[in-house]
Amino acid sequence: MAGKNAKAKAQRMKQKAAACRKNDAQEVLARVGLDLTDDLVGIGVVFEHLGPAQAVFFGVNAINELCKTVVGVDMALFVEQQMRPSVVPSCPVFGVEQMASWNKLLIATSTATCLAALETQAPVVAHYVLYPDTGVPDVVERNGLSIDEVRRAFCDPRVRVFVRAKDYVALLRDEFGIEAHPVPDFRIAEMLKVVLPELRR
Amino acid sequence: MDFETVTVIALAHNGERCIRRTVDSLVGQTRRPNRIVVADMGSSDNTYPVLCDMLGLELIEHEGKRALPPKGEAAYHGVPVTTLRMPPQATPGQCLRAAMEIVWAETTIFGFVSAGAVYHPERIEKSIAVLQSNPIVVAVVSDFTIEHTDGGEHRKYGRPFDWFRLLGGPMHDSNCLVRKAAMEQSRATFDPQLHHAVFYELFLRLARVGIIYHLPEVLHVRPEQKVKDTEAVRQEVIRVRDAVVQGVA
Repeated sequence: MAGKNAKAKAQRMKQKAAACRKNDAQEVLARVGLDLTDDLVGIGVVFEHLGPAQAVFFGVNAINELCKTVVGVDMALFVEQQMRPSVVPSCPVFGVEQMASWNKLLIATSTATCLAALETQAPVVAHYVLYPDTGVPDVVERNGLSIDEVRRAFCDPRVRVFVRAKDYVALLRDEFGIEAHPVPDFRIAEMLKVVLPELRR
Repeated sequence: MDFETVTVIALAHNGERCIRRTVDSLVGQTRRPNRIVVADMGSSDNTYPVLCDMLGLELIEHEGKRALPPKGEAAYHGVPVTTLRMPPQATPGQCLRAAMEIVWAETTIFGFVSAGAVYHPERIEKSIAVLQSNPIVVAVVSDFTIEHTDGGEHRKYGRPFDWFRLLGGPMHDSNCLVRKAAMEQSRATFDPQLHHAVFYELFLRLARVGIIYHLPEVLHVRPEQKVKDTEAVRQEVIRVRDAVVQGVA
């Protein structure tokens, strides 16, 4: 009798532990707007380079953190200029030429990388604006791009714009008539919370 | 409570009209500096007498005449302030070095204010928060507003730090907070020979040991500056960059 009770108790403990694990996994996935029923999500992030830079430091660290904590998100980096990384990424790194066949979410980190991302099959391109590279007189530096190209990187229907500072929201609204989401320090999980539910639809 | 000792070094040059508001902006910080050093770079106007008057520094006897003290110390609204008068031919590098030598031992974070600039009340507090939350951050810079001589002003958007962009040219602002440990690690000292690129050299050296963090907020105001001798500036920038990159200097 006592043996039977112990077996039932052990079974209950196992079920409880499994339920806890499931809750934990659900909680982690909810941080990026996913749930356990979602298929594996692929996310590519496009950087100009992986050398010493504020964007690279915060971006790659956020990606590494995501790789470590969230199972079910498949990350890849695409880099325009290959060089020794200042922060070692824990996901695969490819050249931008290999991005052509990518058909999942892409996160661009500049106007130029956003335009390159728009040439792919990606259904949604998240454009993370580190600096308001717009036609505003004071920030007119456009890396040799025409205003139409710059406009496309912000206003294309596939593009969702995220900005590093709240101040840039009004600037981009005035310049391009778009509504950007403020996300400080490349907090990728916050960006995914906005984009992934849309992708799922 | 942040356990940091912050010394802010303010450079003054012919700024009799704005020196008071610069110092007032420093003592009006939500996190006040532990010490302020005001270095007068050989002003030809009344900058130094105004400063001495503001701090209540008394005249001294010098060769039978009454004169302003070349170095003085007083408390201004409860913050210790050290004044330093440099000769007219002193370079910015010499002034900054002399000011830093006075407070080197006691300081953990150095703040720099260019002549005539005014800090936003939360400038120091926000910079310390960034430095403390990210050990790899060695310096904090921010956006700022430029005041034009005609009374107008406009916001200057800074770009986040990127080593390759830094190699392309100097960062356009010298108002920053810097971790002293990073200055020691990178051997960043202000070169007394430099006239224009002192802060460019500092940023190049600091960038070799950590990240220069750009806060995308307006955290200071500075007056419009006259256009300097661009060819001389360009030559100095190239010389500094080559020296730092090759590790010669």
